[in-house]
Amino acid sequence: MSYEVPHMEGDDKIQFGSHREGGWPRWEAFVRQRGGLAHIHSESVHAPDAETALLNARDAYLRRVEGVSLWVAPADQVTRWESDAPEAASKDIAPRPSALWEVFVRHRRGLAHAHAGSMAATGPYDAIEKARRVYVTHEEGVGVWVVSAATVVAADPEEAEALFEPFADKDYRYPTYYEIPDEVGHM
Amino acid sequence: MTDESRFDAIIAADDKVEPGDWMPEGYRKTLIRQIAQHAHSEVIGMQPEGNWITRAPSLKRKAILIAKVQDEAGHGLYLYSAAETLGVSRHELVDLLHQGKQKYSSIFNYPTLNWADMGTIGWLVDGAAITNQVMLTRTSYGPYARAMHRICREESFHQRQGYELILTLMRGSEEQRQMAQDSMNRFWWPALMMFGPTDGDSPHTQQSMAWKIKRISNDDLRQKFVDATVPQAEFAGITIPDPDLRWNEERGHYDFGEIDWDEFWDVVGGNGPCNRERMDHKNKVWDDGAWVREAAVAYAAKQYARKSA
Ligand SMILES: [Fe+2]
Ligand SMILES: [Fe+2]
Repeated sequence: MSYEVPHMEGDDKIQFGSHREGGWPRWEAFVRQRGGLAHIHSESVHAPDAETALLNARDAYLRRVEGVSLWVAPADQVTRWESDAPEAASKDIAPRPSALWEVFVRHRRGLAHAHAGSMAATGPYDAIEKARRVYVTHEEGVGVWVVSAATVVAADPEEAEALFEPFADKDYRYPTYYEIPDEVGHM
Repeated sequence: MTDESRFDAIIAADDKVEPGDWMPEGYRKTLIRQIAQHAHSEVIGMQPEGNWITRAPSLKRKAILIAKVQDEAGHGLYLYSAAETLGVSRHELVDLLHQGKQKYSSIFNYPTLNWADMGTIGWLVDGAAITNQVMLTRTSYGPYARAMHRICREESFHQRQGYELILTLMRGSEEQRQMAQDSMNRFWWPALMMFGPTDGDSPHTQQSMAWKIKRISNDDLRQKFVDATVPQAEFAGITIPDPDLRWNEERGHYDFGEIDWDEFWDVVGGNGPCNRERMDHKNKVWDDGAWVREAAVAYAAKQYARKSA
């Protein structure tokens, strides 16, 4: 639904951004819609652990048959770079042993980040620097996220059927299930 | 290029502002307020429909209603998550709702008194929402626009199941037709109020339109909705409770009667038929659900301890 909630007295006094304790951690969720497509960022979910994050992401983003694979990663483990804020590209304080990092690229404004590949790097900023060289060329790509591959949790392919199939036969979830006469216009 | 001129250029080019971009504080605050209240509305909106799940007249209608209510919960989640890209936490926004510091759409402060209300809500209330949300797919903030695309894909199901429910009743017994008409009589005006005050009484609209958060004014959206809905009502054989409703050849639109703005402000101010009930229920289920949240955290801690042992 949407809503024009009129302005009320006191509205302007609310100070946002005082992160209160008590909420579950946030996880970024990535959905692969079909075999052959990349995992695309689908907003985030809250959960106390990866297992619950996967279930919540399934319920939030895959209520219809819209995906074949799902990843989650803790939001605070994602390092973000935007092309408009180059100063944000800091250096890693202490390089770690080379490890695998997953790279997600926003190809242009308005699009969600899409998984571009993975690469070896010695820290998040090293990964961003390398990812920018490989994936952000010719003005393509306005933002890069990197996250250590070890912190990304994928839905178990063995459980894919249990996760994604239950919605397959719920045809009443689709608009085409309802016969609406043409005379009444698009609905 | 300064931060501000870069922001202005993005807006002027009809491009999307993304979370990492510099944005004016007013833009950020306006978005948080609007997206949060939109999210709250999705969540509170589950109550009037949830009210009929156990009394749905058939298994099929029950399954449909459950699926729709579940979608609305999902819409709330997409929206909270879009708001969180602006530097607030969902926890904080939910807290503001629970304390009554932020509002939700007044439409949900009306009771659902008969089964036909499940049809009217899908057809008219979701229909009004769609009119607004289709516009918002073109909003200037990237995460909000993407959430709207996702939502609009699902809303079509909501409106169609509602209209089909009403058609079914209108083709049924005299009693069923009366039930549908009674529902229409109660929901028509509140549905028109969903678009908010008239343009003259909505001082923040201009700034929102300049930032391209809003793309169409309240009155224009309301007119769009009326024009689309009248033929649907005529086809169904249901009467819209407005003696002033008629086609205006010159304008190419339907004219309609004056909205009762006193009622509107009264409900916004907290005195609608169900304001208290909705908030009491929301707070109660939040408190009652505390043990589930605690158990989930305890389970997560145990798993973590086992892994690191
Ligand atoms: Fe919704
Ligand atoms: Fe809906």
